[in-house]
Amino acid sequence: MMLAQPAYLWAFLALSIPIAIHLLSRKEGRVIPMGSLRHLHESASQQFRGIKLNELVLLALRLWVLLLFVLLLAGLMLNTGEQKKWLVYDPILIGHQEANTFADSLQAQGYEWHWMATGFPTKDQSPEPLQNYWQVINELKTQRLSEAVVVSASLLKNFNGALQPLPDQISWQTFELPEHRFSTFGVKQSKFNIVRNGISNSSHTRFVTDTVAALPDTLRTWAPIQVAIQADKGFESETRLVEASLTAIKKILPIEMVTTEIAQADWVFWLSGKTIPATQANVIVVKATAGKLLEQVAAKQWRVHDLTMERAIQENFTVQLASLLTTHPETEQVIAANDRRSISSQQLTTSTQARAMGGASEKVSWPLFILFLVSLVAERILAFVRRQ
Amino acid sequence: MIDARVKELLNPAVLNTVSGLELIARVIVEGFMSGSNKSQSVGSGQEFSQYRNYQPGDDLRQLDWKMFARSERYYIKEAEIETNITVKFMLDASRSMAYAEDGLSKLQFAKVLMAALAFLARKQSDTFGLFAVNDKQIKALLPRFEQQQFMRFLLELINIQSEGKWESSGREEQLFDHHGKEMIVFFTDLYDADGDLLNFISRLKTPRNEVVIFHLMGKQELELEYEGSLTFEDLETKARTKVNTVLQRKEYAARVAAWIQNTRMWMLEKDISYHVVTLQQGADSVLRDFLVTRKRLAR
Repeated sequence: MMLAQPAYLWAFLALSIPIAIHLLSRKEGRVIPMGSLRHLHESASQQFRGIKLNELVLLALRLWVLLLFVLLLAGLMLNTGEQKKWLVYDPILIGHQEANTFADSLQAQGYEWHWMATGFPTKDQSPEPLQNYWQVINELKTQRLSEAVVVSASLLKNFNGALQPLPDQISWQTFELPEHRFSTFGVKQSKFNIVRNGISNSSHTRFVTDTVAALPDTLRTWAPIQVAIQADKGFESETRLVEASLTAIKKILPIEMVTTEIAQADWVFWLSGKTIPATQANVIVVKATAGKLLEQVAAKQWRVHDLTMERAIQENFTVQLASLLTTHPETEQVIAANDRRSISSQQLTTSTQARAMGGASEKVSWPLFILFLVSLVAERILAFVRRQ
Repeated sequence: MIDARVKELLNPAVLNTVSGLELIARVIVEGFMSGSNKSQSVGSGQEFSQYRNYQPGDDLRQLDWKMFARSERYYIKEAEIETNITVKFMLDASRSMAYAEDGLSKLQFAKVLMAALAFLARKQSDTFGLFAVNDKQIKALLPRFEQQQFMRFLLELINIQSEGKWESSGREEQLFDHHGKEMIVFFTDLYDADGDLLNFISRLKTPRNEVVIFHLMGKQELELEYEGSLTFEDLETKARTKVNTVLQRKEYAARVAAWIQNTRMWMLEKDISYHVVTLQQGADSVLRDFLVTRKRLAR
């Protein structure tokens, strides 16, 4: 059972009213004239004679009606299930001191420890890291809990989709992970080696490039990108533009790029009218026809349309090309795994509170309301019958 | 049938007029007298009934000598027996008689019963009088055998108010008459101070007269069927008491029953005829019961 507005419990003071009425009531009911009182004995219904309450049943009924009314005011939510309080702990926060202290204090208050993972395993089981918070919240909603406190790092990447309002019984505590530095990949170069490092904290993730004498063994390194260009007559200007772009990429980006034969190449630039030979490499075909500057036409085939100087500058041909050539899915994964940007608990709860204010009328507990009405009617009937 | 008609008449508008009260009395009496035979016993009286042959042993005073002179036969002249008794109606006119149930007070009910009985008495050419007693005054209409007596009786009757209480004041001495052969019909609720009423009744009774007590009670008075805690007020003393009727109902009913039983035994000892009448009974059925009992006792 939960109360939406416990402040209304002050209204329990109203229970003293019927008690006072019953204690003080010396009200004489209907006066009935009798020929003689000789056979009538004064009943011990005088309330001051000790604390003898008049009409105990009626008093009890009145107290009950008031009790129900106060509970209705306070917005009692009747839960058929037993009272369960959960502490849902994000496995990412294992070892986080602040979060641990908070969780311990909750446990001392009778909260049950559950890992924030599918199926909510208990503390002694080992959790699997979760991917989507909303999935967990939806699962949590079906658990019929009286209260749940989610202790989470609230990583931004795990909130897929728009922010949803939280149910009232779920409160969300975000504990920010400390700033974290990680290496994405290294590149071996002739003069020195390069390491691309990421720095991530709760508010942002940024990348820096460091030069080192020797690369650590564990670090993932990229082999030089093998590029081949098949340039035929009639494609001189396009060839020049492609070569210029590649040079620029080689200069600016911390990668190594080598020009080779078509047979060994990872990437083949096809500036020719001839048919493309069968190859394992990714092929970028440059054509003079009109169309999108760079588009993917097959799994390993891209097409460049109408490559001119103006268009290349305007539409950042070099950048497009660079992102195409230097994309590594493994790197993306490493970055995603180390991304520590998070959503604060305020951001999560403000939407909840706005809803709680607006949706107060939904919380009338119907069984309680009906019980209240029935009791009220019973009280009225009894009062009428007893003529009090 | 008759009961319903009487009930319809039992409202203040009818009760408080002489002709209305007479109408009620007539309806009640004729209702249960219709079809009944005249007096079964014959003897000397005013109203001629028949001649019969003289038989030895007959009272010679009843022999019709004129008839003997004409026919030289002995005839006995017979007439309906006329009972010439004096009926004194007495009414307890204390305030407690104002106790009412279902819109009919004890006093009103007593008036109806008295009017009916007086009507009956007039029919039988009995003499009747009326005495209404409370501690403030004694209204007396002395018994007389006159044509107007019944109307006078009714007029006195409707003017009686229930007021004061029953307390021995010494003035009721005039009511005690130890000489004549009389019948006293007393309507009361037997609520008095310190047994004054019983004392009064015992002094009314002489070996020669007959005393009939109609004890008027209400059904609620007998059984206390009210619900809940109520305040009861004494009509005479205005004293109030708060009573939880639910708790007290059984004891109360037992107390009242014991009281009535004691009174009945007391009356029996004094050879006084005692009838408990509730307001819910019909006036005609009360009278019928009374008369049937009397007739049975007379034989």
